[in-house]
Amino acid sequence: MGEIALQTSWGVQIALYLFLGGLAGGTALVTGIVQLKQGERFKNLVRFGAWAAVLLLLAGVLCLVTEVTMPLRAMQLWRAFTNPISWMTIGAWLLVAGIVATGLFALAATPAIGGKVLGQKAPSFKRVLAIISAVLGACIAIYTGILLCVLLNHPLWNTPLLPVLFTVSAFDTGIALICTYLCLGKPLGAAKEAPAKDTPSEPDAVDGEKAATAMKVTEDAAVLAKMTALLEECSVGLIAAEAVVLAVLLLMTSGAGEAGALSAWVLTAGPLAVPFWVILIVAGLAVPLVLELLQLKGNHAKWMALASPLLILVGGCALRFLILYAGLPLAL
Amino acid sequence: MTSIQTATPRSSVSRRNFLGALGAAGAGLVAAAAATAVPALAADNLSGKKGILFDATKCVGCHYCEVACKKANGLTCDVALDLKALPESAVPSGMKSADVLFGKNRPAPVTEDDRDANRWLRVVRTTVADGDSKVELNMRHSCTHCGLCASVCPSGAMNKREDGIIDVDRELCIGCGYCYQACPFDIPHYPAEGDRAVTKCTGCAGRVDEGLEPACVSICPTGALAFGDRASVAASGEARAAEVGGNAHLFGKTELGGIGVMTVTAHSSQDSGLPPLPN
Repeated sequence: MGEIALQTSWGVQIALYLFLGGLAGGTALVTGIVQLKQGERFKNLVRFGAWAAVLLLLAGVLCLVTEVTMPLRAMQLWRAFTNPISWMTIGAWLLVAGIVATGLFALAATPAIGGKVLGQKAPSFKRVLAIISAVLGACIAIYTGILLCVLLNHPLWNTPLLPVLFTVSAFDTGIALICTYLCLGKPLGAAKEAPAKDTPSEPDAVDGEKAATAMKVTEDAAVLAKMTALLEECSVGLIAAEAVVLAVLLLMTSGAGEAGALSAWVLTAGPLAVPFWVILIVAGLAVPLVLELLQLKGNHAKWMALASPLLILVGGCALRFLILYAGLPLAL
Repeated sequence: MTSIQTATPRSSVSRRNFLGALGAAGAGLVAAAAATAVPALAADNLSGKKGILFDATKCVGCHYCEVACKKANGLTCDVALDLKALPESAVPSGMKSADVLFGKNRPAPVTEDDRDANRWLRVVRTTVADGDSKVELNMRHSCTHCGLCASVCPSGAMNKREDGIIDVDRELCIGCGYCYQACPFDIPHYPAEGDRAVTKCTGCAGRVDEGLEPACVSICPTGALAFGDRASVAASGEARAAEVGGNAHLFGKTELGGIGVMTVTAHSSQDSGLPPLPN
């Protein structure tokens, strides 16, 4: 094989956008589900997830705007995105809707803002916004794959497996971001104010409050551990699914003509083989899978709880770059 | 441990519910979206559509069409005619060089970066193995008006007309590159400087509206180019291929559901430099 011209017409910003859009979508989905199931308990987690999703979506849009050659026109959405059968049009409006919905959700989930404005109605508003932003998040994650999948001219992209791959990865990176916060942040909402020390009270009552606080701490720890384990279980399933889908995708592509075979070769044995095996397969899939299985078996080292989601995020980003650059056109 | 177990809240997340919600959301949406994702190519792209027939067996590589294209579309002309390629009888009387078309003040050549954006049509001379010997082949590379760009273009800058011509409204282009990625013929290009909206062959839509042929067709001195209804273009292309015989065939009648520019070549599509196409 001589010199292979990789696909570089779409470059860094598009790859980053595909990653950020997927990550934001996955984060919005997971956050929305947490809000629906245990929103009151995981107030801080929900607030973090919603704001993270909005900011990641905005960062993704920034990447897109810097990639196009006519950015000022692209920002006139009503003029730039009018062809209803173009997946770029569908995606652009999904992004707008996602930013609005997730933004409102983030505001509602911020007590200083949502609590004041919405008052008693806050929980029901949050519930509705959680559903909308979760659905839009899932749609955005899926569409990032469809955007490439409809390009008939690129065998590596032109398969229904690509949206599945990107979607699985998007959900997994969303879970990873939430897990990172579970590990480093204070997901359970502000701790109840400790009873003022100088309040005169009966010794028995003080003991009772101490006991209640201790009870609350153990209860919080249990809830947290349960949520962490649940997300780890989901993550294990998604990593396994991603590995299988990726393997089938590469096998199918390698049998899809000259350009397909070359795309698969570029990734597995050609110019992108080192990042493919080292960053995506080993660091992004195998190591986090092992670490999460170890954690599910009761190994609770903090470095593990942090390393596996961070590696998943690195792998998710590498996946978008690798798939984008290896997507050779039919006419080589 | 007992305190932890008893402390489990009633409203605890049900693992099955959570997984179920994730899975259902994902699988359902992916399946629904994938079903409608791939753009459908028109089943019948022949009737009521206009087409160009390029007969490679008649092309001598004089580049007259390229010069006419650049002149008609206001592109910088950095192409020289090769009148020697033409038989004496085919050279219009009095014609000596491109000066006839452009006067004495020929513009400076465009930069390498802008060459593709400034060249909507090019004729490339190659040699092809023909049995034991090699023969000359002149191939025309330009937009085939297949319409894949128009199906992905978000803004309608690439738009498909009733007559099948894919016209370009550069005022609408946002420069996203989606059309470039969709094109199997490497046609849409972006100028490196100045107005960076997409450029490509517009099928001389304006001339066609006036009842004229596209500039390249109207000027071809050897009859290698013809313009008309796609159905008749396809019929005459097939007739010509049969007349030439051997490996000769018509490319473009069925490819991609029928495309606007059909090619008669005496060699296989691959040898002729025609690109592999998606199914």
